[in-house]
Amino acid sequence: MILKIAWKNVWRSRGRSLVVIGSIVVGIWALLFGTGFMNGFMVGYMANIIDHDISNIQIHNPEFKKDLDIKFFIKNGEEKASTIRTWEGVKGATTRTIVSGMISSPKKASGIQIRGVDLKNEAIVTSLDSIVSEGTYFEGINRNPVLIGSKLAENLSVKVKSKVVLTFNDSHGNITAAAFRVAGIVKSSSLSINEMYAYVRQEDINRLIGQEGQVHEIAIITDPRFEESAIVNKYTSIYNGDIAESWREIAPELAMMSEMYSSMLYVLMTIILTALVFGIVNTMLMAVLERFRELGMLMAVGMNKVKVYFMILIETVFLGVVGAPIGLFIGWATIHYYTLNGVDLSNYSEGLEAFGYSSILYPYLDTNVYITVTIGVIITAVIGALYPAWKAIKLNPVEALHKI
Amino acid sequence: MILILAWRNIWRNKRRSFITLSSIGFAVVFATLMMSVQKGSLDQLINNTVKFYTGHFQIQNPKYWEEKTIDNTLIYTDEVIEKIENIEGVTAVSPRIESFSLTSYGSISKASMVLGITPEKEDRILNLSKKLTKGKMITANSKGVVIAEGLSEYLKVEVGDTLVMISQGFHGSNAAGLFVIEGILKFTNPIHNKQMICMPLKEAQWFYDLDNKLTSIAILLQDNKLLPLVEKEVKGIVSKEDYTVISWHKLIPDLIEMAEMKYASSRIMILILYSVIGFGMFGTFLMMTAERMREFGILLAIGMKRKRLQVTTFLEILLLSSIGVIMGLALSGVLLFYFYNNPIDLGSSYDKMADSYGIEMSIQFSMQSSIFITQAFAVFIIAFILSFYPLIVIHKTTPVVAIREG
Repeated sequence: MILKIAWKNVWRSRGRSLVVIGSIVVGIWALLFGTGFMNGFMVGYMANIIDHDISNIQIHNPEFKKDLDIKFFIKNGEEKASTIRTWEGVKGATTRTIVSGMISSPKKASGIQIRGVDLKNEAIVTSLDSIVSEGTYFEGINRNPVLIGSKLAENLSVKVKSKVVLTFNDSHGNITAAAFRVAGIVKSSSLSINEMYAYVRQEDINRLIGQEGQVHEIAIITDPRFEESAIVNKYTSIYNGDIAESWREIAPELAMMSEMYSSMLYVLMTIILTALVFGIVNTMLMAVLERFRELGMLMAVGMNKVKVYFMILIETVFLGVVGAPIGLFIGWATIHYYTLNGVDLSNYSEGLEAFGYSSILYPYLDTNVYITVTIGVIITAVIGALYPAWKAIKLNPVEALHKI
Repeated sequence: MILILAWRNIWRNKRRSFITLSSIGFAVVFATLMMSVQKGSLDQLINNTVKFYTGHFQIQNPKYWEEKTIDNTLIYTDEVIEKIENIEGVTAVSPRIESFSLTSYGSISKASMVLGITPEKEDRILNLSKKLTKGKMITANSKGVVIAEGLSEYLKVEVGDTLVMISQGFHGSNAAGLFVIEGILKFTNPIHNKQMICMPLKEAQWFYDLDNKLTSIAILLQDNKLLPLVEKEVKGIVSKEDYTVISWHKLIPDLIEMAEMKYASSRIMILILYSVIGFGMFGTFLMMTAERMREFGILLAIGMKRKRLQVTTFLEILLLSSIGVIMGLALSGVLLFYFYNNPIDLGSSYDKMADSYGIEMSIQFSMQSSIFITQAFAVFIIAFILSFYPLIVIHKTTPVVAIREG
């Protein structure tokens, strides 16, 4: 009975119902988009440094970490890397041979880190191929190709196809020099990539230092929604003797910044949420108070107060049930659209464009967020109706009828 | 007349007006709160990052920026430093010599960064004494050095060992010296932790044959927003030909990217907030109109001109909005004042690290007056746009329908 009356009431006054439904729709949409955007921001902000340079997890021989001596390689590195690739949550793993050395052009010399990379897997882990701004990704040069950063190329005044000499110690401590040819120039906002690294083929550098098949570093990229610590723990429990670290340990400053950002974003979401609660409560209050006359009439003709109370609450639930799917759909559609196309931040800040940064964020949301948000908003609406409903049943029917 | 009518209308139905007022007032509170936390954290990000090394800005020899060699130095006088220290808003002024050396102990050697400083002054920027893990801190008159933990591990040295340092001094002179390690510092920045050697300014000047020259003077401010003001004053103190002033914008270009990204994303968040509060306000306006249909109908029926009714309603909303905005400003003023003085503390695992940087892990709020003005204005504009809804309704309605519906 009450259900029926409530349902009819919802549709009797369309305008009023639409406002409440509207605020529920906007509420769900705002929360979904806000959270999705926040996730995108957190991932996007770190992305440049993590994706192109540090990676989510690095594995080393503990001795190697101390002084970068090429003697301290990871035992069976290649095998370990191929096992890791099969793990859940791992998007890619690559091995590197790391040698400190010097790069020289006819004009200048500079201290660098020579990174012997596995071409196929390096492209998966750091997308090194995507940041090549001039030349190619190790192609077009048969013997000893090298990729260097744009700043380094500028310092050395070399171009694609120029010859450079790399000097370093081999595994016996002898100083070795070898001629390389620049295959490509990479550009990134990371200082180390632009200035400090020279990427060469792993087999070239391993042959030159005389340590065939040995690697110093395994870099792992994980699914953004997957906890890195789980993989770190898994690794350490299977292989002892190596040190596995997540980017939080490798770049603590970045981790600290990220934590500060995420807490700030939570504060922002709290503000939006409270604003939303206020909006809904206000609208509900208005919606019930507007009906004093009608409710007074119902009570005057003998409707039980408890029933009136529940009628109002059930009406609100109905409104929520109608509004929620619409809000969910719009929210999902917005997120889906931006997940595919990205939010271009430079549209919102002249500065970013002026500096030529491409800052596109890709929001994403877990399924359970949709559910939590929807239930949360409906509960908010019902709570918003509690007070006005209580106010309504305290009415004196006669007085209520008199009110305009 | 109309104004009085509008005023009376507001007070006739106090409850309804109060709900509308609160929806406008709280809209202002939420908008200012949001803007304040965004501005505050942006300032904090900048203030924190410049403490990692550079300071808010530096004074250098104009040639030094292009070519960072020890030859492009500036002449140092205590008088200039003192003058800058006395500018309001300046919290630290640290004269520095930054260069490199090859540092050896036994048969191990490594290229390292050398930072010549006045320890008491530098402490206010780099917080060196908090980074000390072993031994003691150097003073302005000591003869020894403090070195980074990572470097000490690489060289396998302890407090009390003597380092051999070789480098190139002023105009190509040979620089060589023996320095006793007095203490070991743990830098959180991995590059500093692997390379840094700090020595008293006097020793560095002797080592590099620099007499009374410096490579840079780093300046830390109370707050980033003072930067343009202080920069201008400093430019007045130092002569233009010999000195150049370089701010963090140029010293840490990465930070601009971070700041800009944050700024852009905060704009999106505030747009989301506007849509939420806008809809909340629209809800109350719409209800208010629906509730008064009968009243409007009767007024029209007894011969009130439509235009006049519209003007009255419009004035009513304008009055309500103004009162609401003012109330909202008062409330947000109180709230922000509280949060400004009691920033939200983030108890976290990074506390220790934050401490060694000398920064605070907390969410700061900004009290800039522009926030209040812009947000009050924004909410007022939203209310203004929404107020056209009742006007349109009055324009369309006919007395008969309106009286019945009410």
